[in-house]
Amino acid sequence: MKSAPLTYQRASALPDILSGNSEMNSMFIAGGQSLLPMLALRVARTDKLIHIKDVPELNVIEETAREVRIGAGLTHAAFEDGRVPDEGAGLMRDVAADIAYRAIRNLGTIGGSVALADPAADWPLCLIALSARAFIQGQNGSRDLWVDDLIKGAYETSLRDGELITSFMIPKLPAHARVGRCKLTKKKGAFSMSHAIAILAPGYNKAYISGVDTRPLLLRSTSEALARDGAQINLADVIAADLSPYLDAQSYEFRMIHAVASDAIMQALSK
Amino acid sequence: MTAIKFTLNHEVCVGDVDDRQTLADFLRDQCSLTAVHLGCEHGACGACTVEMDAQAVRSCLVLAVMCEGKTITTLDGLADDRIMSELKSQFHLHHALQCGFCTSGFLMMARDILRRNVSSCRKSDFVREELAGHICRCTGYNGIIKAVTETAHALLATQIKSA
Repeated sequence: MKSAPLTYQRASALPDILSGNSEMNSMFIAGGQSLLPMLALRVARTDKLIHIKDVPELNVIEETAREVRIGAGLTHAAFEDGRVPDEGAGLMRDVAADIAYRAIRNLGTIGGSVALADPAADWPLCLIALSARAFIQGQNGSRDLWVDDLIKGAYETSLRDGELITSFMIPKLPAHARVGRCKLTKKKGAFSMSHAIAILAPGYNKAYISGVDTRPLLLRSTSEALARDGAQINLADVIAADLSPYLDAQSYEFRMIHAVASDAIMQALSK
Repeated sequence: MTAIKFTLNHEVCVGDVDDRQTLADFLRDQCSLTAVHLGCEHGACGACTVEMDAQAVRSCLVLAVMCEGKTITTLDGLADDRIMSELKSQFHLHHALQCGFCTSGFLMMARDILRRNVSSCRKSDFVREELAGHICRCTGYNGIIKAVTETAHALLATQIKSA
């Protein structure tokens, strides 16, 4: 299992990247922990790889009073080791430490995870739950959009040809935010079957889950009920209402995903 | 082809590589470092684990051209390493290998977790989770877990003695 022939270019500045990418059929590579096996298995194909790991803009960490800007090229291990400020009440560090295995986390990046948009990936779910924005650079300028709008479906984003995610802006959660998380995997380190994140704070009540739709799903009725009535809601019923358009309520899958959602929300409620 | 230069097992290494060549293939085929084993070639088995700039990585998921200027260490380069020597004798003692195919990957990763968190490595549940990315088809893992927890005890005991 070897990749098809390709050429490699190491970029050290954003302009190199964007001009290098003007040729036909090139791909950006940061950590390569998904892309390299996909190239080796030949489910992905490219003539040229542009290595973007050393570009300074992709490794920024800037903290302001209300938000944190983090480079898209930061590795999962950087979050796990606390080298990146985690304003999500410990959520980002926790999510990062639970991705795959340490040898993968040492190279794999948050931007790569979002750009690939694997439906079972952890960062899209986490960043959507935190209401993060993505900063995107293309040949004809830059733009930013909600990660929620960037992730369209399975391996599908609204990135245009030649565009690159450079950083994410993550709003700081209100003080006393309560966070719960439940991830179900067949074995430690495997991609999740389902993964739920619940964030409860005054004016910010959200529960998202993956493993139901082709992209992270907002548990809308549940989130609204939590905002309105807090711990008083009938949790099982509202989660069931959110899941029933997608899953047969009698199925094993429904019960499994229902349990994942309940667990994340119960954790947040009990804090 | 691209010319590369990096530090390999404490020495300067230069080579010409095909851009698509993985670090694992370069280490085995051009450098004859056959302690780097290739099981799955797509990051699922852990057998090819090496160290890049003092961090564990899978050499099948790194291209050789990406290593320009880096420091790469394989099991072959750790003959005099204190943690590795202890690990190797504990692997021997606890029958932590049979065919040996996965062993170099397990040793590299075990050394990495011992260096980062030796105290937690006394607990078998911790070691089991940290080594979950490595596959062994012979031992059933118990000997491997035992060897690592015992190494942690031994390393901590020498620390106390030398303190």
